[in-house]
Amino acid sequence: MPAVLMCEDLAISRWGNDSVSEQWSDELTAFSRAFAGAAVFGIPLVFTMEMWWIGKSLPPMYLFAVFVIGFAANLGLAHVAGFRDEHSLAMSIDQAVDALAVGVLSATFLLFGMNQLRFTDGIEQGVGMVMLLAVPLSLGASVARQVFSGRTNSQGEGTSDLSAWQGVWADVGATAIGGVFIGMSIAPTGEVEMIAAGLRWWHLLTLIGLSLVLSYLIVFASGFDEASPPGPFQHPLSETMLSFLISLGVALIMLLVFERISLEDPASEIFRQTIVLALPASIGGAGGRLVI
Amino acid sequence: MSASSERTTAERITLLASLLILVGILALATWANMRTGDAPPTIQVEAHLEDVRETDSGFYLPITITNTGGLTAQDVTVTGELDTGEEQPETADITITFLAGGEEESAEMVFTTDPNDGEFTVGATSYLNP
Repeated sequence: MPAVLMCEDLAISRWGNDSVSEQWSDELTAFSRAFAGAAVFGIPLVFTMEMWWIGKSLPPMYLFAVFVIGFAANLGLAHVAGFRDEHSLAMSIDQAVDALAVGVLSATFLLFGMNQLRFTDGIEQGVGMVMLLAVPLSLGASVARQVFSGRTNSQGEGTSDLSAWQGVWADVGATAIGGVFIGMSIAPTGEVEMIAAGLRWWHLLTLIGLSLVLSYLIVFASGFDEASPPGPFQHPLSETMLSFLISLGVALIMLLVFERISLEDPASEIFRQTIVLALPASIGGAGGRLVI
Repeated sequence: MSASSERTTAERITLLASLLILVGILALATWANMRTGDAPPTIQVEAHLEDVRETDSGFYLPITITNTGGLTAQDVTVTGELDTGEEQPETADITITFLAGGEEESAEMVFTTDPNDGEFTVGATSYLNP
C-alpha cells in the first residue's frame, strides 16, 4: 500500500512539474513573440532622433497621456491579435500590461546600446525617451502573433519541401530582403552616423549582442518558425550567426549606396556605422525569414 | 483556453513583473518631474581651465554645460571669448540641439592660444523654448 501511494505521489509530482514547466515554456514563447514583434515594428522609430528629443522635452502630463493611449490601443489589439492565444477580457488586460512592460524593457535596452540612454544623464531625460518609445514598441508586441503566425499555417508547408541547400539559399535571400526592407528606411538618415559617433566598445558589443538575441528570438524562440527544412545552417545558432553576417553585408552595402560612408573613410568609422545599421537589418532579416 | 480566463502561476508572476516595471517607470517619471519642477531653463557653463589640452591644431578647453532649470531648452548656444589683450578677442561657439532640465553635456572649445594666458569668459547666449 505504501508503495502504491509512493507511486501516486511520484505521478502527481511529475505531472505537477510538467505542468509548471509547460506554463513557463508557454510564457517564454509568449514573451519571445512580444519582444520579436516589438523589435520588428518599433525599430524604425527607435532610430528616429526626433523621438529621442520629443521624449526629452515632452511635459510629464503628455507622457502619461501617451502611456494611457498606448495602454488603450494595446488593450484593443490584445483582444483581436495579441501575443498569446487567449482573448478573454482579463487576458487582454494582462497582455496590454505585459506589452507595455515589454516596450519599456525593449526601449531601455535599445537606447542603452545606441548610447542614447547614459548613466551620466539625468533620470528625467531617460524616463521620457523610454516612455515615449515604449508605446510603439508595445504595439509591435501586440500584433506579433497576428502577423507572423501566417507562415506556419500557409507558407510553411511549401518551405519544408525545399532541399537543405535550397532552404539555406531561401533563408539567405529572405534575410537580405528583410534586412533591406527595414534597413532602407534607416540607412539614408543621419541617425546612423550620429549614433556611431558616440559609441564606445561596450556599446558596439551590446549592439552586436542585441542583433543576435533579437534575431534568435524572432525566428526561433517565438515558435513562429516550425517549418524549416533540415540543413547545415538550420541549427538556431548557425542560422543566427549566418544571418548576422548577411545583415552586416546588407548594412555595409546600403551605407555605401546611400553614400553615408565611402571606402576612403577610416576603417573604424565604417565598422561602427555598419554595426549600428546591422541591428535593424538583422531584425528585418529575421522578420523576412518568417514572412517570405 | 479563451473560455476560461484562469491565470496560470507563470502568467501571474509575469503579470506581477510587468506591473512592477510599469509602476517603476511611472514612479520615476513622477519623481523626476517633482525634482526638476516647471522652472524655466537655466544654463550654467563651467570651463575646466586646468584641463586644457595642447595639440598641433590648438588648445582644447573642456566645457560642461548644465541646464539647472526644469524645462528643456532647444538650440542652446554657448559662446566663449578669449581676450589676450594683443589682438581681437578669439571666440568659439557650441550649439546643443536639446538640453533637458537637469541634463549635463560635455564639449570642447578650440583656441589658437592657451586660455590660461588671457581673460576667458564663457556663457550661454541664447536658447529656444521648444
